[in-house]
Amino acid sequence: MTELIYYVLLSVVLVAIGIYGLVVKRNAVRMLFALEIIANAANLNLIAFSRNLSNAQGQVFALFSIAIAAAEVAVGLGIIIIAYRLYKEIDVEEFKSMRG
Amino acid sequence: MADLISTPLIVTLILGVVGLAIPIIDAFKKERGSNNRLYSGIAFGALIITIGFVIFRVLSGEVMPAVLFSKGVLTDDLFGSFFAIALLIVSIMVTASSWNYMKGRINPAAYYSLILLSSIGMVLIAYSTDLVMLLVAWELMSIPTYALAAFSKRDPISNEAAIKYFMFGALSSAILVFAIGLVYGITGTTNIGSSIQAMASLQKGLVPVGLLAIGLFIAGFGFKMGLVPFHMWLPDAYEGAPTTIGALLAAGTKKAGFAAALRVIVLGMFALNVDWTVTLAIVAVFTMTLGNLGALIQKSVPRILAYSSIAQAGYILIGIALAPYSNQALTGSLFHILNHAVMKSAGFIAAAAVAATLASYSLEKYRGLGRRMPITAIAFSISLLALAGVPPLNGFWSKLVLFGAAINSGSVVAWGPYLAIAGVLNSALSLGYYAWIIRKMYMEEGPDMSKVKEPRAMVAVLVFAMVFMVGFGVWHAPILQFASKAVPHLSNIVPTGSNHLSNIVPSSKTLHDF
Amino acid sequence: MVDPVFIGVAVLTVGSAIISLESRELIYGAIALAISMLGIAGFFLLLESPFVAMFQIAVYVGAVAVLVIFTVMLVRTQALFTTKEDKGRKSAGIVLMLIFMVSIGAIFIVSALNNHTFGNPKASAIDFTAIGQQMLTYYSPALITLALTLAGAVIGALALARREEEIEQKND
Repeated sequence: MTELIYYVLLSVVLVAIGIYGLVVKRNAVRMLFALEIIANAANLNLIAFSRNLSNAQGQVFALFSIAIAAAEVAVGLGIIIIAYRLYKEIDVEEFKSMRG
Repeated sequence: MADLISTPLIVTLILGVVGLAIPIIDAFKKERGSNNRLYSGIAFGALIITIGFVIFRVLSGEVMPAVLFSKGVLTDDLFGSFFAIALLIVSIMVTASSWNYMKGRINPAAYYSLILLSSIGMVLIAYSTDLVMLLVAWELMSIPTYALAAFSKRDPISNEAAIKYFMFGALSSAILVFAIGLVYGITGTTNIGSSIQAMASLQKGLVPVGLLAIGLFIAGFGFKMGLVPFHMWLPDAYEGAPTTIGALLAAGTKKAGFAAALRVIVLGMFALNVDWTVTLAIVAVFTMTLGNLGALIQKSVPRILAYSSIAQAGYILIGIALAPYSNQALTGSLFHILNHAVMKSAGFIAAAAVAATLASYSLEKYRGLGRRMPITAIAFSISLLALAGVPPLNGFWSKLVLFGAAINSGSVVAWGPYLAIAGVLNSALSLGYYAWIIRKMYMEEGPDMSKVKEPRAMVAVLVFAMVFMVGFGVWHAPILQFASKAVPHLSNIVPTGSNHLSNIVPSSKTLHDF
Repeated sequence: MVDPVFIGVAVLTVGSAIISLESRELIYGAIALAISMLGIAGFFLLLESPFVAMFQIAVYVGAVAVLVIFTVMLVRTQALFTTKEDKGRKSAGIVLMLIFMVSIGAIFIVSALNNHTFGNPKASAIDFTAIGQQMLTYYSPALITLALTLAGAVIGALALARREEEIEQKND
């Protein structure tokens, strides 16, 4: 079996990619992709720890976390579709009235 | 296992059943008129019953004093009940004022149902003693508010704010999952009590991972609390969301963030025995200063209130930073959380009342409001003065307890009194813009000085808030006592004598002496 | 010793995660995201957690990815070609990513997690009856809360997706 540390490092790499996506991308759907990558990395971490500890709680938490992420995506896509109806596109850059 | 008649379960049951029943009733309704009043009434009734139940449980003495170690995922203690009461008051104020706000708007059923579901989430956060439960409750609080923030579908500004709020909210929950994963990985349990015990005796090599987890927790909760490096989304979201929902976000979800932070971060840091208080103190000072400076240059009232809520988070954080040095500090934080919940919702609801009648958020429209909408104006002025901490309003007393704790802690930590000085200076600074709004309302004359009809339900809510702010300003002892009973006694947490714990100064003064 | 299967799945997961963010067309990005999620499910299988792996495939690949692909197809494709990006922002993002990767990675490498004897690596895999047991006993309040969360998401998403025009006509 591959050692725990490789899984943990892999999840760090995935989180870093997700953060890059959130910082750089201005397209709302792409930002959603980045969020999903981060959530997946967190779940990977959980399962790796769960296997390592031989403890079922981590798996239960991963199941909860997957279900929650799906719920979040549903609401997020709802908001994005409204934005699309308003702007006919989903590029955050076009939001002119955004003030810092 | 949680007891069958424990407060959190009953709260979940009442609000959950009503929250799910409202959209079902709506689906079976034949005629498609606006049923705003019906749903508002149902939601309001459910919330009143719930808060009545929570208060009854507290008064009947069946609720345990603040406990940290619970075997189950939920506990039934005074800490949770304190937050439950504060958060339910916010939900009640929001629901009642939505009676006017939602008039003629679409989809009232979903609106009230989402408010109820979000309230369950907030209340359960305060009661949870397990990290998984905390996260699920956190999501139950957040997901409905994402939809609520996007509720005015025709308004592009509101929609951008909702997207921004959603992205930061989802990021914060992903960070929390990561942090919980780390805590679970190094302690082997998700129960907060057990993992704190495990952390207190952590092997040396795992301490950096524990610190990283605590840092991620601060970031994750900090997004909701609006602490300074994580506050950039907040003014946009609070301004862009429907104003009544702004009240729910600023006064409700933010306070729930503090409940979560108190349950997790403070105790976790205790267990790891690191010198974290200075960091939190610096964050507190930055948060309040940047919040107040940001508010000074704004032109829109909800935006001013949003920045002021960032500043208030800074004051509350003073108490958390000083938690190890004085038991009074946490009491002050809790007291201020309850006060701020009422003050800030009153402010947002007054802004919503003005928006509902004059259709503007701009400060210029507030000129001459004292004569145009007398009750709204007086309630708004009182809530602003209470936010600034003017005696004898309730905000004054909680700030007094907080700053007093900071001064008292001077005997243990040299920088303690500086926090009090920063807090007082900031309060003076904030009085600047609060007084400016009040001046606009009473001293200046607008182009149109005709009296307008004030929305009835909102006026009722504002009168309640006025009574609360003035009443508990004059008669503050019961809440202070409740708050001091609700704070966890930090000296019982870690059995081993670490140097921090020996530093705890049990406050010899009773709170009445203040 | 790193398992070659692990390396293969890791390359697939990370590679498709990058493609999902960098692909020119959003629809390919959505498909790459689905592949990346499949890769994560593969790790779950490697970690002998088949139940979570199945759940991951059903929810993420089955529901989320399909939902995203539908959304991408629903909104006009022409608007989705916009790839204009700040050069400065992009390099800042890459720098931030590297800082994050190196600093957090370093914390884990120096910690005791990078130790063969950490935890219980020889332990047997978790029986999934244990998952069900935990879920229905200790975590039962969390399960109820989760149900309410999903209900809230459905109510919220329905409220958002409803078209206002139709409803307003009925309101009059």
